[in-house]
Amino acid sequence: MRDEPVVNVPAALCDKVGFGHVVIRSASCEDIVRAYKASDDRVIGVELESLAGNVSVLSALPQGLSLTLRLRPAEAANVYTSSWLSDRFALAALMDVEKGLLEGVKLVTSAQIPVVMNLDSLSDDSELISVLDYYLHERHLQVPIEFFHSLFTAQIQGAALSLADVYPESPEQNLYVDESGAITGSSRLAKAGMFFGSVTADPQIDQESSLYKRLINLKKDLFLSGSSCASCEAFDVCAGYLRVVDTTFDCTAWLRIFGEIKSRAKEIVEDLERSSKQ
Amino acid sequence: MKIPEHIEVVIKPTLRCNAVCSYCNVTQKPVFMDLSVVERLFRMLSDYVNREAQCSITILWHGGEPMLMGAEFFKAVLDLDRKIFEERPTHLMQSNLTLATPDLLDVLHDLLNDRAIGTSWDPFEGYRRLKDGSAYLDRWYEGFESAVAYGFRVGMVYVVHGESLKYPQKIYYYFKNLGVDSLTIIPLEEPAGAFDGYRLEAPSWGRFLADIYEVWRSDNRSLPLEPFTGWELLASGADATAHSYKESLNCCEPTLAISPEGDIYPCVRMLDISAGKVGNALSDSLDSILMRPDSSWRATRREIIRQGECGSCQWWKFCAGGCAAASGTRCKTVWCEGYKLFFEATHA
Repeated sequence: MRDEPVVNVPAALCDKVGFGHVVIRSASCEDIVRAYKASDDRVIGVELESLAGNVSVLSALPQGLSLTLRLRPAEAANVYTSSWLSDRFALAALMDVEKGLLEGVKLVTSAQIPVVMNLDSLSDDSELISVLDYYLHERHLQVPIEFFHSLFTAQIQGAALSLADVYPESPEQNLYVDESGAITGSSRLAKAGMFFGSVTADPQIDQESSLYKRLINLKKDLFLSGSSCASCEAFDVCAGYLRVVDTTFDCTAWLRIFGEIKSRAKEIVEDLERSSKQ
Repeated sequence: MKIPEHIEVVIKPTLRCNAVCSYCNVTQKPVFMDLSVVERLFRMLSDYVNREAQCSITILWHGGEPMLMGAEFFKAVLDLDRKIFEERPTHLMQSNLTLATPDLLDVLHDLLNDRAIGTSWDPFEGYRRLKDGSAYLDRWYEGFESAVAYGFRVGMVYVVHGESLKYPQKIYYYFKNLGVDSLTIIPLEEPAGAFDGYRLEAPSWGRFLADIYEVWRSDNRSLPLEPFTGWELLASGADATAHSYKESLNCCEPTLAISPEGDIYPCVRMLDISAGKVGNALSDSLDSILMRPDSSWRATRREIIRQGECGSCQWWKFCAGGCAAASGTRCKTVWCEGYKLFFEATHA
């Protein structure tokens, strides 16, 4: 179990972060390799933001390292030109939820690459629902599509797991350093301009900032602030994640998604119970 | 006299409370229990269970707000408990948790040997307030987190009032999401003092029960919810000792409710309004108290009301006449119409 946060940091700023388990990110394979070689053993993974460059450079990285490919759905076919990556690394595709996601997910999963949906932008619910349908009903699917897979299996096992676990952004678990060196809990918080520190400040993290305190105690904050999340039927699987950035976010489509995951999981549990009695 | 298998002892070391709840029945006298009362009471109970080996005892620390007594008081109680009882009784507590400081929880961790605390909160604004003006929920949440960190199971008692009626789903999920270990819903009885909230009528209570039952069932019964959990056990026949309504509300017979002065009443709610005293821990023996007819008034009441329409009621085993204190010694439960409505909607 990790007792330090995972810090997602641009390759250019990797040497500025002296704590945590580091994930180096860049659109340049050369920069990633350079930063990796200059770092100590705190690096637990790398995130490649584009497949446009010379990917073969990555062969300098150790075998089995976690490699996340950031993919727009339209770029999904590129995974076939770099298929060797999945032989060498623990590979996953981080895909934006936007038009064309379903087709992109089909391509990536057909190459046996796990998909993590990037929830930085929560605008296209219909694509998400289509992918859920694919995840639940495609018989040939052999790799996980996150967040669906974690929530679905947790529901079957009766385990407590929410979006806040799949996409951690509590400063105790996860930190994100943006290109300017500002620190926050995740890339979506960075996009929203919500920060609680900087790699150039001393101390680097302001533990007294309201955002930091809120992220550390999100559930308590939701109850004490009178948020409608407190009485939501999907709180067990959302934990308030959807309204961290925008407290007025309309969750209607998401309630359908959570409801679908729960009811399908329930069917499986009931089937298993029936078969164990026979 | 039949020897009871179990005695529920509810000790109210003070009737004072740091909160003002709009539906509270307790007359808040500024009296605090002396340790000599605790010692006398423990000796009385210990002598009894030493003689009647099949009889067990549960002690529920209640109030007012029992945590107002502070850590030193409960440390002394723990010492007496260890010194006097050969086999320690089960200790529980009902508290608003707003005074749950670490030094107090240190002591309660040892005293409350079932590791269970009952508490109350109301998500509707204004029903529960602290006298010092601080935010009730902030203080409650802090106490709740501390209690959980100390390893206590926390059960929630929610008083359903008129304003609750439109929101069964929200109320269920609110308490589930809070993370309490169980939820018990009870109807708001006629409060003793001024109450400016919405009242509750029997049919509305029945409809609320039916609505929240459906929510609970759809949620795979994931949060233990009384009275439903007990009722379903009873209906399934899986557990012959499953509790009927009276027992699911901890209304065991006999119940000994002890006031700060050591006065003993057969029911917590009667103590709250100082009615029907059956003895005093400092001056009477437990045998003499238990032999009094009014110590077994619930059983007597049940016999009386079963001679009426309750005798042929198919829902009797669930209801058992309901709360005696709320309905009177010769009358069926004031919530009868509501319970019938609920059972007919969900169990018929």
